[in-house]
Amino acid sequence: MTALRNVWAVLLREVAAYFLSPVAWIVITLFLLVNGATFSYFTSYFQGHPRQITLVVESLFGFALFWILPLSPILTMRLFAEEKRTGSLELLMTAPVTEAHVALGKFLAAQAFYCLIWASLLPFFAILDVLGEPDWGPILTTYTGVVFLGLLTNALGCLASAWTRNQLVSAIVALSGNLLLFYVTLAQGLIPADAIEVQRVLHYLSFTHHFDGDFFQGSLDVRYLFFYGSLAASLIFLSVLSLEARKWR
Amino acid sequence: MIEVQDLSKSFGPVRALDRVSFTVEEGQILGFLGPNGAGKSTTMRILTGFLPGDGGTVRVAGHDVAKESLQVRRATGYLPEGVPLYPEMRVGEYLRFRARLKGLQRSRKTELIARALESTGVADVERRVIGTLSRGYRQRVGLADALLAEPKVLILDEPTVGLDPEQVRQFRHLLREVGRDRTVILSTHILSEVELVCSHVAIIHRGRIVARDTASSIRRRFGGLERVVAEVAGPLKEVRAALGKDPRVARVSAAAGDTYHRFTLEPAGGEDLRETVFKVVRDGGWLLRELRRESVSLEDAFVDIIGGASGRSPGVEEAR
Repeated sequence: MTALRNVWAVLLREVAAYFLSPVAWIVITLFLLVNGATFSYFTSYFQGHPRQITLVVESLFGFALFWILPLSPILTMRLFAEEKRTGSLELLMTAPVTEAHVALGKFLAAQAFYCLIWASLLPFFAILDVLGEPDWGPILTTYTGVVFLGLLTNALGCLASAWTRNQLVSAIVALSGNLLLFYVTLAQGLIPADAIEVQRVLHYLSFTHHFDGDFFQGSLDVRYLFFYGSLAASLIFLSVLSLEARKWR
Repeated sequence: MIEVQDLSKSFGPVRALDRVSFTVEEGQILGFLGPNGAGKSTTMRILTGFLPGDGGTVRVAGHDVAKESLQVRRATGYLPEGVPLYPEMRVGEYLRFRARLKGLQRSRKTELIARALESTGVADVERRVIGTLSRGYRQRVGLADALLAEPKVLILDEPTVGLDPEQVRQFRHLLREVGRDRTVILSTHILSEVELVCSHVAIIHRGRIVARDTASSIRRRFGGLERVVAEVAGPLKEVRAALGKDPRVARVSAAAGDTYHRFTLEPAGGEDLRETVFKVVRDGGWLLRELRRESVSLEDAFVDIIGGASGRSPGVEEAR
């Protein structure tokens, strides 16, 4: 009960802090602008053909997916780095809360804001629903994939932020981590196709594959979601340890 | 209320605290005094559970800091050095956040926040963004936060640094008010602050407690008693020798001037040395321009205590 209240208190403050900082507004604006441009480009020759609608949905998500790479690092870079730099971490951690409460609250705030940004795509789908009959199945599975992948990238961002007192360093480290995940796909091309076991591992790790082959098609492979979720949990655990690390020196 | 026993702490090869022991009884206001880098902030961080000590025990409000950190934090209000508040939040928002974090009951929250705002005099800036407040106001908001959960123990790290003289005066007044029914430990390197506010003093230097007593007895113990300052026109060495002859004079120091030299005499006991000075000057046929008593301040005591050790200890206070 106390734990829940503490996590909630931290979460509320962090979400409020997002809306009070210009970074969040810049990200939202860019996200809407770019996706709006993508949407209007792909709908400019729109004739209401069902295949066309699927194409618009896939393009919209496909382009938006690139946002995964910088989005989480930008959203999470402030979380701990700023508190360390200004020293407010000292006030936070001398309140009757544990490191786990703080880390979880901050992570969930980033996740909530991340989901909010992705929710800004919903109006586009609503427009498609008015113009034709989009298949809501793939839209929902892709959204699920995006939310779970966000758990992973946001947790990675939290860990990066817990490591440093410099926001830029945090963002760069988190971005590098995300790029590493992304390059798994490219690494597949370098490894001989008959090394099936290696290929299978890489396939399991590569989130672009999960989206292209699974979520976009309207199916939900729970293994992928579990992969994101469990990796995220480990990363948050490491973030808690990094916060406690000041006590070991 | 606060018991520190043989507390040690090292940051790598740097020994920040070396078997520090002191106690603060309920209702006392302890001034924790020392030059920069002496270990004040480190001690306070250990008291509040932000950092653990390497050895020794610390008990605050009856709880062991190492084992019952959360209970200690519930019983303590802490104002860290530099008052790191969230600049983007409004004062009221910030205090509501802190109240939630400190687990204040919903029914009492509004009342306690109002009381904290009131007692620290920040009610008029409740709707202001913290980042736009002056240093003095931010300090008070920090104090309001520390007082929020009505803690029995108040730990304030350099609470008056960066304030202008008027703000310092107000802050001291505020401290005396809130310290009436609380145990307070405040660190500072400004001596006058301790003299004005604190009932007790602990002086820390290079990680060791070098003196620990009431403010007045420290002054007595280390500063001697009342000194006598005299300006005399005459041959400096001769006057000095003549003044030093009296057994009641413990020490004579002299500063040369053009015609008049300034002599400072420290008594061996509690005697008034002014008569002695007058007699010596009269017997020598010299001229006397000034003769006054000077009571020793805590500042002199402080310089006396740590003055022997030259240089400063490494800047462990900067370590986080």
